[in-house]
Amino acid sequence: MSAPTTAADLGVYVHVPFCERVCPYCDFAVEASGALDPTVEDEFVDGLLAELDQARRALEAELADRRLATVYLGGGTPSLLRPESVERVLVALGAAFPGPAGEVTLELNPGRLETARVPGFRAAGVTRVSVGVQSLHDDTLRRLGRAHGGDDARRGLEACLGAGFDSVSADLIYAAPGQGEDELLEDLAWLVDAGVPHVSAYALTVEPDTPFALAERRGQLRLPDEDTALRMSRRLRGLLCAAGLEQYELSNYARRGHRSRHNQRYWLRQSVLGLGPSAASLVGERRFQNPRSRPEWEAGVRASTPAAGPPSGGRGSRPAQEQLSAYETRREALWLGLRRLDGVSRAAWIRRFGEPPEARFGPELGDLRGLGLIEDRAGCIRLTERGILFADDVLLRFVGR
Amino acid sequence: MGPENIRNFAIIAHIDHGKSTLADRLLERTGTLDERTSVAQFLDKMDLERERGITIKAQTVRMEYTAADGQKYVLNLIDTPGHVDFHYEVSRSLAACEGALLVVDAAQGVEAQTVANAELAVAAGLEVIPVLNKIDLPNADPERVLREIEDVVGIPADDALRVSAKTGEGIDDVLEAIVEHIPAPRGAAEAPLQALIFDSWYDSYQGATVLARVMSGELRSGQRVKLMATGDEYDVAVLGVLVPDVKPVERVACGEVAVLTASIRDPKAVRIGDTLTDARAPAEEPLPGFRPLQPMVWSGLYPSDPADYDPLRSAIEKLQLNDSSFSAEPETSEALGFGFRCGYLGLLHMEIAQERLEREYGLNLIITAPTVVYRVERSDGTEVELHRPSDMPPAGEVKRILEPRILAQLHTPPEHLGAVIGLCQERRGVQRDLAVYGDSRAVVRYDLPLAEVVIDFYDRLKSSTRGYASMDYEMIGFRADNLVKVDVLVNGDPVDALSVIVHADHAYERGLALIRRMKQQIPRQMFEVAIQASIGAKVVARVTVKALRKNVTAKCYGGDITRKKKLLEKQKEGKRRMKRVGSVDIPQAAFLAVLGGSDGDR
Ligand SMILES: Nc1nc2c(ncn2[C@@H]2O[C@H](COP(=O)(O)OP(=O)(O)O)[C@@H](O)[C@H]2O)c(=O)[nH]1
Ligand code: SF4
Repeated sequence: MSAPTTAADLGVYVHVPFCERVCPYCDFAVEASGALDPTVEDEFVDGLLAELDQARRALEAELADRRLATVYLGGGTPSLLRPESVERVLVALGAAFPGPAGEVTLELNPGRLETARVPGFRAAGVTRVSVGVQSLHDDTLRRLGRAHGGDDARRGLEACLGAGFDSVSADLIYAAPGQGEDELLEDLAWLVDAGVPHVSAYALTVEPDTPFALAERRGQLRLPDEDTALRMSRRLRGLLCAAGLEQYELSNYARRGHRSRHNQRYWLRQSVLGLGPSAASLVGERRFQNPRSRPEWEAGVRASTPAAGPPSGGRGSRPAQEQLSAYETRREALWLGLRRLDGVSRAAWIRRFGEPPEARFGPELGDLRGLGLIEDRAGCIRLTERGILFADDVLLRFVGR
Repeated sequence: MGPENIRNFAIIAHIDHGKSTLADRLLERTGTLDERTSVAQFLDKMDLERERGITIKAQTVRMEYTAADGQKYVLNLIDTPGHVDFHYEVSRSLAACEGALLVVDAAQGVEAQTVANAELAVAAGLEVIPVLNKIDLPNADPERVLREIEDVVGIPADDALRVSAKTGEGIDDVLEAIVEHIPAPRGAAEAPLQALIFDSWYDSYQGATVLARVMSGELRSGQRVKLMATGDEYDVAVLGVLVPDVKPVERVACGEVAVLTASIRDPKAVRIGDTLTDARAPAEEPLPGFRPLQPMVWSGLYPSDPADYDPLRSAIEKLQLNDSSFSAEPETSEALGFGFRCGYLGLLHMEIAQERLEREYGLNLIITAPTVVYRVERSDGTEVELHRPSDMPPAGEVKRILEPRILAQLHTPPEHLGAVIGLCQERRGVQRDLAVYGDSRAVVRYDLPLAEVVIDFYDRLKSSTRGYASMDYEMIGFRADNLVKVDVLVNGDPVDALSVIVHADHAYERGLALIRRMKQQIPRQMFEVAIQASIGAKVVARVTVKALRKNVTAKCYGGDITRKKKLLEKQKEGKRRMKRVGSVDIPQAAFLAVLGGSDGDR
């Protein structure tokens, strides 16, 4: 297979698996930690640094000379870490790779404690915060099982907007239990007025094996019906676009210059090294993933079996590895690429794979065009309006058997 | 021993009236089986049969008995299958006998199979000896049952024996009656060999084992024999009699029953009812009555897990070896994947075969609802047989459609007669006759389309008569009716696998029921999905599945592409098991809702 021609730089994702309490719809790798115990925190950060060290050695060839482009501290709730812990991680990353990273994002929950730490995070080197607002309405937040209220969220956002970050993003959940359409629009209007330049909006999905899934089975979860959810997503898009936040990915909206560079790496299949429990990596054409639970991940780090180690070596909690075939690589490039509303650039595709997308996916693409789900525009294959609504039906064509 | 001291007989009875128990007692009393082994009812070998109280493969045993007259007799008990589905096999077994014991439960009285079996025995010219069994039961009512035998079965019952197979009371009388009333076999000992094959089974060591009644001539060990239906020749390898194990003998004389193997490697070579003759000095004619078996009921068998296809195939092959009346052909269904279309003699046969496959071979099966074989007369005069509705020739070529009919004989206490008649009328039955015997029994005979009986008729009959009704039927040939093919269209595209043939009068209600069931199983999709039932170009019923308004799980899980991919893959796997018709994904469940089988984990 030809070597990838993407820029030889690197994103780093750091998974912080702690949350004050676990939300009933969440299926991320998290643990309820209350106010994080400093010893646990320090041990965890030690683990991250050790893992970084091991990964660098194990991936020496693949990582050599890669410039650090983006860092993303996600979770979980990375804002539960003290700013000095964040700084330790960032310093270690700076020492490990040539930099500096142009974008350092931290996910922040707008609790009082975290909001107080905002200046500290800025000083530690964070350039962008993604605030877990979800809603600005107390009732909705309560039904979502969130720890904060609407006022907390507003205060948190204001603190972030005034702290001198390059960019601030707000995470929203819509089609949440009991949430009304007008309520959502009010929230959006407030965000726009406050000058938030980036919004990620997710329709609530009930994931299996979560308390919400149980409640749904028991008929105790009152989700807005499908038509309401559809209207919500339409109005949300309409309002944000009118306010100058362009939809650039299925769930992401940004003013010019505020798109998340780190997240785009995923959709463009650029290398990202993942650190911490459950963190996933794509380095070159190799995907690998850390164990999901923190104890297992820690055991792996202690036994120095880095995620990127040779697939056959090591022992016990070997991370899952996947060497992608040429076909699989292309399929991923399609379904990930189509998530971006700019779509998949034909020229970039040919440059990268030496053939047009139709070479392998002619029938699928033809079919989707016929269904009015994708279109060719400005040298790109991209989702149509209808395709955006039925994105899963499009993406599904390029996964599985 | 001369033929005058041989008696060949069968025991015939309705299920549970005590046939096996009586056979057991006879074996015991003649010292053929000691009491210890007889504890497990010898004649019913297979678990499955025991549970259902029926005998699928006839098994036969030779007994020696010294009668009251001081003479020694050979009594060959020829066991017959106990159920209507095996009419033909029963009739062949009976053709190997001169007499039959008609066992009737002295409490329960005459039931449908009592009559059906007795009619077959009478038709075969046998001496029928009525035996009232279970006279030990407190609620036994021999007088009433005797009247029923005379009235309903129509044979004299003055000499009926009264026994308890359980306590052994009256068993000696049975043995004496066999010797006294059943004629000795006749047949020309000097004539060329004619042996009637009435049973056979297969194992991979010996090949086919054959049970045959020597009707004329004699069978010898090492003899070169010929199967008259096919002309195939074999050398008799092992010749013996069943006592009940195989006891090798040098010759089996005219009038006797033989067991033999002859290195017959093709399990399909031996057919029940065929005649075995001497290859060097063959008989001119085969014995009368042979006909190849015709499966009347078909259904699809698919492995629930496609990976089980090979195990299913080998299980089916094995089953075919032991059940020549079970047929199977590979079939590919758009909806269900690779499987088999299997033919059975009747419903019970189908159930037994399917249960064996599931149980003995540990397979999980998707079983489609049974359908019958139709005949279609084309306008050009030719005729085709349809094993599935989708094979129907284009409408323009079809002159008429003929369907198999049965003559069903239904026995019920009179208070349930209304329910029975209602059910038969609803199923397009034509009443042939009706008789009420006293206040305990009514017998009604209906000419019914087999297609109307194959699906849940028996269950309905049982439930609407609180379990009291019994039924027997025989095939009475094909008849034309106003039948139409109802097609199912999904957004205008026909789904071949789902076509059904129904009577024109039922087309609307059946069509609607069918697409309604289907609708419940089709998930909402990007588009509105119209499901229609049509006859030719005419739509007779229509339902719609409302369109889904959106389908986007917008989350991306940070960098965990693998996880996102897995979720999508899972979603896709669900879809993959769906069949795409036009642009609509139809899950297997929707097909099964129509094809009406089980879900595989019954
Ligand atoms: N009380 C009583 N029960 C009997 C008698 N003969 C058979 N049975 C019972 O009736 C049931 C059916 O008998 P079976 O021989 O299996 O019937 P088959 O289906 O005709 O072979 C069994 O539970 C027997 O034990 C009898 O003479 N008296
Ligand atoms: S804050 Fe986010 S990561 Fe933590 S439990 Fe709630 S949804 Fe999950």
